[in-house]
Amino acid sequence: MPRIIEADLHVHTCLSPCADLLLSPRAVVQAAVRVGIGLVAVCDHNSAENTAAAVRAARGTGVTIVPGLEITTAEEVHILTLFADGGGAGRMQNLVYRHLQPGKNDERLFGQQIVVNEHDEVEGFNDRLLIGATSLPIQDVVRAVHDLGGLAIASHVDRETFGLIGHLGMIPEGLDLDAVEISRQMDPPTARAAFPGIERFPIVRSSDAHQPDEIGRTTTRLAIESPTFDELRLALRCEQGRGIVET
Amino acid sequence: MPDNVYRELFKVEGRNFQAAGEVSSKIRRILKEIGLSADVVRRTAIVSYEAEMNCVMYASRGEFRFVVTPDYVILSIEDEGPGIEDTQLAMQQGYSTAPDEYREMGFGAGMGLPNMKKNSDEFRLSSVPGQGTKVESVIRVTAEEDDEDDTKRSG
Amino acid sequence: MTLKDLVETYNLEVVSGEKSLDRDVTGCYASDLLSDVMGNSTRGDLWITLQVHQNIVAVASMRDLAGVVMIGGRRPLDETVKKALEEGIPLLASPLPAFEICGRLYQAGLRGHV
Repeated sequence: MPRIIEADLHVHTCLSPCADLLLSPRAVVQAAVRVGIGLVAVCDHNSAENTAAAVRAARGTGVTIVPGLEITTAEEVHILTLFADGGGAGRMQNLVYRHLQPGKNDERLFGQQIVVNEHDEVEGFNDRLLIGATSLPIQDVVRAVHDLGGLAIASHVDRETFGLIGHLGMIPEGLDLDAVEISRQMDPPTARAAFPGIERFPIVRSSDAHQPDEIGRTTTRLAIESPTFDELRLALRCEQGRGIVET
Repeated sequence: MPDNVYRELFKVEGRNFQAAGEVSSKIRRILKEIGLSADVVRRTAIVSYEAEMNCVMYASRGEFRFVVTPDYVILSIEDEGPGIEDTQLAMQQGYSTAPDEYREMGFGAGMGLPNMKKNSDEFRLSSVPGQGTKVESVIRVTAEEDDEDDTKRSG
Repeated sequence: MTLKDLVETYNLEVVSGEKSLDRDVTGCYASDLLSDVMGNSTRGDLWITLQVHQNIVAVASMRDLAGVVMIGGRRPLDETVKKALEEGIPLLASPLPAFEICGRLYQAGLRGHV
């Protein structure tokens, strides 16, 4: 029997340069518990190095962490990529690292990229230009995600910066996204009226949290049996009685 | 460098979360410029960062003395603050005197002291409750070609 | 030529950086993809773009560019101006579309690095 579970499908950690230093994997889990969210997708920019710690920190809390990445495509569009487990996320990360623009992160200009374990201990600093873009076009990212059994969701499509529709003016034909995320300033009915073609896709909303208190400020309400990746996929496809509950 | 030693003093302001992490960032950059191995840079950065976050979270101010010799990197951090009542207890993973507001934010599970010790070759913690805390960390510098060997040795 | 010369000749609005207009402009780069500018611009370039978010300041600072011209009458976000003042990056604005302003700057003698 499906029940209502709140999901935040787009959350950053201190690994993302623009995110708060205090937003450790453990802090993400604690915030989710505090706000009553059952499912959280951790998606740092072009990296998944803090996802395993988040998954471990969530054990026994009742919160499910879905490991992911927010990938910057060659068109500078952001795509959320979510995976069933760390293996998928890790392989996607390897692909991203191979195609990420070269260069070292400038901590003063962009922020620090901190790798932290589930005990809030710093393990290291990521030197890559995670704020940069990969050379992977959108279609290639989506295809790779699906090859790895993951889900591809276009981030904040309506946003001018790094949004799919913002950058391309439309959702390209034949793009096999699993969902589109609209920004917090928008709601699904307005989005459907404003962007022809968007009704083909399930619409989700998330916090895009870069600070601990932003987690869960906006969520996607799911009707699922339990907070798992597979249930999420069923809900996005509206299969077997699972779905997204639009308020 | 005169007599092959690099020295610098950094100041940290307590509760200044805007600037938190800046000193460690500078230290990392300096170590890379000097050309130390990735392992030494990473370990020093971790010790420095954990110490800096402690200063910002718990102290009113702190001083980082940073010395690089051909054989060692030495970090000596002294803060003015509440200090630690029981340093033995503080060295246990997860022990925290973090005020509620920090606990709620999450990143206050511990003071990172065991992590600092783990990443140091020598580590000393001393504190006078009501006055402040001092942390000293020594990290041995290895030649770049010895990176792999060093990892195997230290496990 | 200096930023001041260009500001005067092409009637560019100075959004921030009035004190830095004596900077030399040694080239020009036109692009709206930050990753492209990060990878391919040259120190001293004037950057022509429609982007107005604060990351343009970080990129301009990173590449040591002479300044940024926001085209098409676009206005910078508040955060962008704040960052520009912090970083000392001149922000200029033009009502002209990108092609037009590029053409005029080219006629003035500015070149890209090819």
